[in-house]
Amino acid sequence: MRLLSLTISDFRSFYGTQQVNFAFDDKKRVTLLHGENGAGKTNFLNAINWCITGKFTPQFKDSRLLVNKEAYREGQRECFVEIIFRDEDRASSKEYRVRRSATNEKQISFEVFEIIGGNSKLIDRGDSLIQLLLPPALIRWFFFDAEAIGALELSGSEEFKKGLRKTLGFELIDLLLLDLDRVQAKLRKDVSNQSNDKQLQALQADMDNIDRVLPGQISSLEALKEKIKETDIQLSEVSASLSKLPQAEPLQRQRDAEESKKKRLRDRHDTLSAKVAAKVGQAGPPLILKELTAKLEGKLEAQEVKGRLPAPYSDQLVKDILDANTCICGREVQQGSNEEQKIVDLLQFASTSELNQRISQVRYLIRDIETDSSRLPVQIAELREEIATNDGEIAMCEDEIKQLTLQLNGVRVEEVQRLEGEYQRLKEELSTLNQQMGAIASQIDQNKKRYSERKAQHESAARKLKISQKIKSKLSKVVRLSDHIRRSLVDQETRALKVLSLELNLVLKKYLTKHYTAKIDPNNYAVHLIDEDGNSVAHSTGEGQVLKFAFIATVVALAAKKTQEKIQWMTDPTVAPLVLDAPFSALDPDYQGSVARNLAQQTTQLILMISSAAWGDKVEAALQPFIGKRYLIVSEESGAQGDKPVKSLKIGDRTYPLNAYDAQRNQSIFREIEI
Amino acid sequence: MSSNKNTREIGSIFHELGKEVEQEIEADRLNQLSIEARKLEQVAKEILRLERDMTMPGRAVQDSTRIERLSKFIDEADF
Repeated sequence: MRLLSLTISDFRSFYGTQQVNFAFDDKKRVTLLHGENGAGKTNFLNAINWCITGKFTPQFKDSRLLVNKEAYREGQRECFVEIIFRDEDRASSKEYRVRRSATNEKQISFEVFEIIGGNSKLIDRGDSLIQLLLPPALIRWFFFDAEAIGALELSGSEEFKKGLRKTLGFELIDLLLLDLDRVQAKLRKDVSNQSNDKQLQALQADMDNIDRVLPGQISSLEALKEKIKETDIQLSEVSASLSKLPQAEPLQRQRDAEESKKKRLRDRHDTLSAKVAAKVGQAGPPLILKELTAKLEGKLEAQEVKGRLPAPYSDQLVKDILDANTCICGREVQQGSNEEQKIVDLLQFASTSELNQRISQVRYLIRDIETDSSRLPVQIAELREEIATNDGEIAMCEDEIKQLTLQLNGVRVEEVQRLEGEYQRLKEELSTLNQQMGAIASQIDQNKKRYSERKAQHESAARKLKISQKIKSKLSKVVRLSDHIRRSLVDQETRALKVLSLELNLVLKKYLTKHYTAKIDPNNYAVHLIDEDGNSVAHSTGEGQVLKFAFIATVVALAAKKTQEKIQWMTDPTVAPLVLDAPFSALDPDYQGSVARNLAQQTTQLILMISSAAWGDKVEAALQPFIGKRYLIVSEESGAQGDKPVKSLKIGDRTYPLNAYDAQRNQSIFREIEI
Repeated sequence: MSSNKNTREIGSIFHELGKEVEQEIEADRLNQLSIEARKLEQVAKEILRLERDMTMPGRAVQDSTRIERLSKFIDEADF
């Protein structure tokens, strides 16, 4: 999918109908849109996103007010966005026109047309075509507003892992495994129906019950997660507003810092607790076996002292005596004699190499159990001590937050009081939502556990019953196949992460001047940046920011299968434009040029929205060879200029104003700059 | 210019070699599997293809139809 043009009409800050043509050439693939904060860059990005996917970026505010306010005042109740794109991934190149329109209340239409010989032909189920060209799992990697890159969480949250697994193509396998579980459930039901066994039927009824409840619980959990995400965004917005007020700024900054510290400490508490749980699990068997092994070792030693274990003679010695028909004392051993039989009987107790080896293995096992039973409790105690220290720091943080909150409450400024009230309300709401989420997550866990227990009991009970061999064999086939796919999924996942990590490091080499390595934790998919001394680099640093750009570029390149290594389960190559409101200003100036150049090189089409703060000679020089189209998003205001400045952008020898006053209305206007 | 071209060619040769090695490793891996495991691997690939076809946008079938077809596939598959 390459975007050719966008027509926007009365959408958000864009009044009337305006058009932007994109650069889509293989060489000239970059379209630049320059605009200051508030000019409409986020609106423009969301116009593209909404038109294609029907969705907005997470930070997009007031998504129910889509119709331009000025146009609305004049009686206009509808807005639309229309995009013409070309699909070159199929066997032949085709052009499409996609158009989405809405009022402030609801979406009115979504239509996809194929353009044939200049005429548009409406496509049945256009949404399916769009999903085929830009799979839902990949969408998030192609549209980034200014905050989204900074907010990109690479530290291994559950949501990040889930999203990345989808991106890497494992969603299909997950769905297949779920479907195979359903096939198994159906077959188990057939087994229950066929038998009249009451126990089996009771187990089946219990499983059916869980099956009925579980989907509802899971969707409630998802809805709660979504609500928590929204509340979190609202909270960070209120926090940012408080930080902008001079009377509250220092206190709010400190509170934000304490809140972040508390979050880190809580995460550490969880990590340490998980380690303790794992160690306790490991320590259980050695501690229980310790007494037994001590007795066993005592017996082994006693037998050794008596010379019985291993036996004082080897099997080879006995065989040699029998072969030579001569005893070690020199007497002849006659075949068929009682003596010969006695010697043959000795073979039962003779020491063999296999027996010796097994005794050694038992000794090693005893030693391991002894070591673990003394080592693991010490490690657990150390970890518990760390948790206690960590919890002490959490308590200190909470005290500090309380103090800062009290001080903020004491600031007698109306706006501070209002925002602080809102902040506390959202905090309480978040806490309630988190409690609800915890409760429902625990119910889900219990139900899943109960289901798997009932399943095992059902299998065991069914084995004893006389039921159709056909169902039994089919059930066994499904179980074997599911197990095989589950095992193979683990291998494929490991390989996919290796490929991702390999490609990410290739990109990083191009972005960063010094040697850094990215490592992906296979457990939670956290992406760590390691410097040349082996130290972990925080995501908030300049290099950490570069890592985020590199990660996005890598995923986009993997999706397009433009990388050297490919991930087997990813969908067919997805070629789509990367649309970024690029916060290059967050990057170290040394990296701005290399990041911009490599983003242009790695994508098929790049649409960048840049403010003058993020624009500089290095970015200009890096992008120059790739720029095909360039626009200004000029912000016009109907009010008088007063003390307000006119901001401008210098490109080459020319200076362009980015805002204007005394205009006919408040609006954003696209102005094309000749290349 | 020619050095760039040579670098690209060498890069492409290495890439091809890498692919061949990977294919050999995969073939080796399959050869090392027991007949039973090889059959399972083949069936797993086929059933995944079936699932993909049944969930493809525009061609997606209902959940119950999907379960029916998967069940039928397993019934007929020889492993």
